[in-house]
Amino acid sequence: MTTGQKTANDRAGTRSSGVLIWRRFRRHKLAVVSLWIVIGVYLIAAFADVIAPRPAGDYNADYPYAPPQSITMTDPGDGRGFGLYVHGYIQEFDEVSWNRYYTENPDELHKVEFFVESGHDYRLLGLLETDRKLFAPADADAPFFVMGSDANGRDIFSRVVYGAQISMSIGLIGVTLSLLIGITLGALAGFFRGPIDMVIQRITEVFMSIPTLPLWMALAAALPRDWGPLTIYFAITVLLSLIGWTSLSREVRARVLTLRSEDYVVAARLDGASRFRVVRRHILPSLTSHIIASVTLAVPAMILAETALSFLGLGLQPPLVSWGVLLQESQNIRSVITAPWLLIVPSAAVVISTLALNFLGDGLRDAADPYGGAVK
Amino acid sequence: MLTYMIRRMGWSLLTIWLISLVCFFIIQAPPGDFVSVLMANMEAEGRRLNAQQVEVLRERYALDQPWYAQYWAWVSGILTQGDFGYSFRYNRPAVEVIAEHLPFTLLLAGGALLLTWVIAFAIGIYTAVKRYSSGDYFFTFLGFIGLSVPNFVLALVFMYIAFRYFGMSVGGLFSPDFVEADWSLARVGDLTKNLIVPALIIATAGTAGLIRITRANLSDELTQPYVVAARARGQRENVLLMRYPVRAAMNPFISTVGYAIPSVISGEVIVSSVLSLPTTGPVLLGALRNQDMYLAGSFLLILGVLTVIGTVISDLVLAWADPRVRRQHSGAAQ
Amino acid sequence: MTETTTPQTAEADALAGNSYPPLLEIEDLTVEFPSDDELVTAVAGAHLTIKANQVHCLVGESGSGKSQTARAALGLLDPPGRITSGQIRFTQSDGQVLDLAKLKPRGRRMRHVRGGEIGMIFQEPARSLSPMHTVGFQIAEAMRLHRSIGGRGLTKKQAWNAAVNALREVRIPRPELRANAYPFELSGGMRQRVMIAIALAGQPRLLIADEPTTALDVTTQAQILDLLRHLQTERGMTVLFITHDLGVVADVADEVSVMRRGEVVETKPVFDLFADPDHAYTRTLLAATPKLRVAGPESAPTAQSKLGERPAAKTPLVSVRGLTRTFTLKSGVMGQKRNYLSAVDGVDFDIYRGETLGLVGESGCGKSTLAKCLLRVEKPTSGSITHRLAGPQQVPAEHDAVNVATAPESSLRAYRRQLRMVFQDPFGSLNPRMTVRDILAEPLRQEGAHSRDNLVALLQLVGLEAAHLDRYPHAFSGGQRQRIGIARAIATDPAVLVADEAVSALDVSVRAQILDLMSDLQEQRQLSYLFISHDMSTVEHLADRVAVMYLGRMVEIAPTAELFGRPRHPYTETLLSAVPIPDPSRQRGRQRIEVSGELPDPTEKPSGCPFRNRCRFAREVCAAETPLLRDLGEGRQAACHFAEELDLTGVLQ
Ligand SMILES: Nc1ncnc2c1ncn2[C@@H]1O[C@H](COP(=O)(O)OP(=O)(O)O)[C@@H](O)[C@H]1O
Ligand code: SF4
Ligand SMILES: [Mg+2]
Repeated sequence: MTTGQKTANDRAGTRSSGVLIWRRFRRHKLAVVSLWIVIGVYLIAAFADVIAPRPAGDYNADYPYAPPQSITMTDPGDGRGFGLYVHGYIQEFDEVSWNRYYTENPDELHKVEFFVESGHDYRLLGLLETDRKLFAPADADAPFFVMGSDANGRDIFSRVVYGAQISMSIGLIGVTLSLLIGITLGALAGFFRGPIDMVIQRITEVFMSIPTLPLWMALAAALPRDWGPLTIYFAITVLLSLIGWTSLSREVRARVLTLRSEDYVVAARLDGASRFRVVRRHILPSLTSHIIASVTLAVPAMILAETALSFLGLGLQPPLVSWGVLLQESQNIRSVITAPWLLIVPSAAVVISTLALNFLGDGLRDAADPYGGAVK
Repeated sequence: MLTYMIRRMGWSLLTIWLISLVCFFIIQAPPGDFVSVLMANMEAEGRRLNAQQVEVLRERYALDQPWYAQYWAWVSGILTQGDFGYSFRYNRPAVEVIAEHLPFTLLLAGGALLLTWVIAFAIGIYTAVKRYSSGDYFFTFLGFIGLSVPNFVLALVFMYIAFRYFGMSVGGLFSPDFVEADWSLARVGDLTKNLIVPALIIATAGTAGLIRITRANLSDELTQPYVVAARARGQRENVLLMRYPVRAAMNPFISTVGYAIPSVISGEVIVSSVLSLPTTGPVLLGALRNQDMYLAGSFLLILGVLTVIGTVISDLVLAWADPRVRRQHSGAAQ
Repeated sequence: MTETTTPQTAEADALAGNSYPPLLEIEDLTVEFPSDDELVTAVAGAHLTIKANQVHCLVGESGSGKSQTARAALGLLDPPGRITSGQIRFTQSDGQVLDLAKLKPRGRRMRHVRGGEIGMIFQEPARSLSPMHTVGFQIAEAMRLHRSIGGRGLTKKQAWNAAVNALREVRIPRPELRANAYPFELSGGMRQRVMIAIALAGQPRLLIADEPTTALDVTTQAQILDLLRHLQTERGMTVLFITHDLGVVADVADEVSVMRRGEVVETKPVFDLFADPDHAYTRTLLAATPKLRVAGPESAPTAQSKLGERPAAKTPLVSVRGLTRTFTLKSGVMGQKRNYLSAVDGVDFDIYRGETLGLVGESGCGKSTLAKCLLRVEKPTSGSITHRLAGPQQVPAEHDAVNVATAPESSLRAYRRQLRMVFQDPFGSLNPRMTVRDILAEPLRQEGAHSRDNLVALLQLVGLEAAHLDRYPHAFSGGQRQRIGIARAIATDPAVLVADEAVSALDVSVRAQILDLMSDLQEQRQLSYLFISHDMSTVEHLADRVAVMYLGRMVEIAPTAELFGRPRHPYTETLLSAVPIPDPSRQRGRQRIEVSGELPDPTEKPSGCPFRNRCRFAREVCAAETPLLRDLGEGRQAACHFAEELDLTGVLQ
């Protein structure tokens, strides 16, 4: 009756739900690609010190608003050999408009080398002390702006790479906090129902009714001005998660409500499993795949929230480097017109990461229930 | 049905009260009380309040009393006299500043909401009916891009393009000719024209979510036996599609709309700030930056209340549109 | 019918021994559902000829392709399904023969056939009507699509009036009022009547009824079958009746086709099929169907003899007295208006060691709530449950009947090891994320008895193998899952199993196997069963004693043979009369007892006897006094004022 190939394992039915979910997920090509992108972005964040040619705050006052350089593969014939080179700049200063114009200097070539010693020491992953960079000009003082520079002559590429550290981690940490609040409250409401559910539902509704961004803005503005950057970072993360838990909590509650009346949960109770065991062994495992999917969808929302807050100047502040902080510089439309890369490069980083996370979450959500049944 | 309405309103009053507490907390959050901040501010401008004025103000906001008394002073002021407090940045009562900007916010948010609905509804139906077609993938992808690109980036790109390629400097809701003009049809037209792009930018964020909800719900409805049954009685495909499953899929759509309002307002705040539109957004931002807290808190309160009203309306519309909900609330046994 | 047949078909008719022309001829039909990794062939070269003016039954187990055959005829296959070969020839009212397999599913001609030539009703009336529109609107829609007056379409008003008339024709009381009702405001039987009204709106010549009574109770089923029979003769309509229930076949069919794995394996007139089946599969199907036995020496029920033999029979294992479970439905602004619904309302009964107590009644009468109270999944509102179930470590003393109805949850462990549950839904009752090993180990882990050997022994006991231990539930069929469910239930070596509709979701042949397994286990382990089912024939087949519930009350308890032979409560009689006997000659020779009225809303039970609004013997006293369950001797009990006097008809002769 039915034709088609199935693996022996599958026919034997010994595949766990995890394996089944993974198989369904793999069919979603875009989600698989997104998974790799997300992994890539987090790797970039982890190895930012190696990947960024310059430290985040490093500036070269001679080159404000320098446009992106192109990298060419050539042999200048001066003994430096065949390899990757970038051109230097020729600058002209317009006395009237006070604008600087850059053109490529055809005669000035700087060799780009891999794993060069940069002279800027750092600890790789907090362990290994080194000053090697994945790629950087052999001459440490040469201008090297593959994605342009900002008003202070800082390398945008390096700063975007460093920005990934904060932007991506704020999403992850914020969501973890949200998750703790959301799961606890959602599970409490769903499992105990009655007055507990009522109270939790009301609180959730209040938080859902206040427009999030203005509330975030207000709370962020209320933070003391004299806090250090790191404290601000944690405070902002906590703020984002305080408001982001509502949808998670609703989702968990709804699922717990349906799950607790499933026959197999009743069966577990009758088997003599304790309350704790029923929740841990029978209810939570069925929730995890859905929770993972919701979490994946919540991360990009938090990244966007941080970006928006910082962009408005109410979130993180320099010297911290996040994508939102970088975008602050494009608040002024004049600088965007002079140097469009100020807007384009950090935005591209935001869009690529959140898009990948959204697709990943969407794929996970579709695959979350390997036993059929539409996920709403 | 009437009892349902009353109960629903009762709950929202409770929610509004809680929101007012949150707003009050925010007003109180920055260090220093309102009058000392005001005094410091005025001194910076070279003006002074006399001792008597200070006393009156401290009295009015119950500043020497515990927080609940202060809360009560604030709330009762709002309820009895429409006094939302004083904005020292504008040197005017907060309510005046709000009244000046709120209409445009409502206009813009309403427009954005309308666009979100229309786009999400049309695309939602299309993608559900043509599931797994290339059109479905295209629109889904587009929706996700809308979800992933920050509003303000879109706004900046729009400004950049307008300036770079059309030499226009965008900002404001009226073209230069109309800023000071009296209301006329032409002025309304100009306003509409200037509203469309910001509304579209705001709409991009919420549309993707709504498309997915519509698509998922309609896909579910399309497999329902009643669709086959309608087909089996010889009804035309287009007619039965709109009459039965689309109608049923409208319900989750309506109920989601309530919760789309906060996100639209959030979008409005940031987009208006970038495009410097004369709406609440930039004012709120300025108030927060300068710790003009009565103004900020009042804005927040009003936006929150509006959202709650929006959700109540969407719930009532839902009850009106869906006989099942109506019956559930009419108190009959299930 | 006009006799305008072509020579060949006339010849065929002569061969078949009658002169009805074929209305629908399905030839070599194949329907496939292609998907990414497999191709499901739902119908594999089926042949089917349906003669005009007949009721043609199509029987087969679930998944055999019955529905897809019917849907293919109307171009209603769900995507990605498609007809890959074959013809579906239909003779239209104008005599023209159409091949429906060739019509465009969305084309005009197909739309005319749908509803105009062929009407269709479905298994789930609840979901086949749009919940957002009134039933009147939906009937009127069908009217406007297919009816006309003087060559012009109907106006809205005319269509609505036609809809009201149609409701009257399907015997819905107060049709003007009901036309304005939404589907969810009607009972299941009413909804199916509405579906029939819609299907017949275009006065089709063929009505396809796809399991139209499967989701309904027997009493409602009997009413719907009556109605269909009546409409069929009145209109001279042809009916293709799809069902898996041979009792229904015996009741309604003129001719029967048996379907198996996408093929029609046998077609015969109904009497011949039951008397002399040709195909081996038909014989299996007939053998697996429990027949209501004719009382005779070899089939004499063994209930009393079994009970009589057992010394323990005198003292019940479990005694239930006055058990009540009341639900409160709140409404009003502050939830101040309350309706009370007593799903179980003062129920008394006993379970003895080694017996099977059957529990029957219409859906919603409280069977499942009773089971849940017994297991304390629900907490009873009042009443007592006393038991003499001893754990292995305890020695039962004379007086140690314990009341568990009010006992705290924490003290129930021992009780729940002795009284176990088998669930209805073989899919929902096993955790999809656990292997069979984990599922079976769950009840055994407290005493650490979940060694591999123990689990394998359990599996073998229910006819599964050691190799199944590491599989997940999704790898098993419904019957196998139910075996796992039984293994889990007997793992703690219990004395009583509560089986709530445990075989209702299974096909007849699988059902027969599970029932056999249950009997074997009972034999080996002296198990008692509380066997809950809406299916009277299965209960008759299995139970020693039967309890009948109506609106939360026990109305009759008696040994099986007595109850089926000579009921003492009018409701039992009604119920039995509605059960179709899977034997056409017996079924058609029966005296029918008209089932009147609808099941009342459980929040508004009639005063006095809950059955009085449907009882043909009701008198004044029935409204004034509530009849209690009384002992009538011979181990019988009934709750009717006139239990001794009435002479009621059973199904066993
Ligand atoms: N949408 C579908 N996709 C794939 N297979 C289907 C679909 N609908 C029905 N089938 C398959 O068609 C076969 C016959 O189904 P059906 O005609 O409904 O059986 P029956 O009516 O006898 O219970 C089954 O194997 C079923 O799995
Ligand atoms: S008590 Fe009266 S109404 Fe009830 S079953 Fe007996 S005769 Fe009928
Ligand atoms: Mg079927």
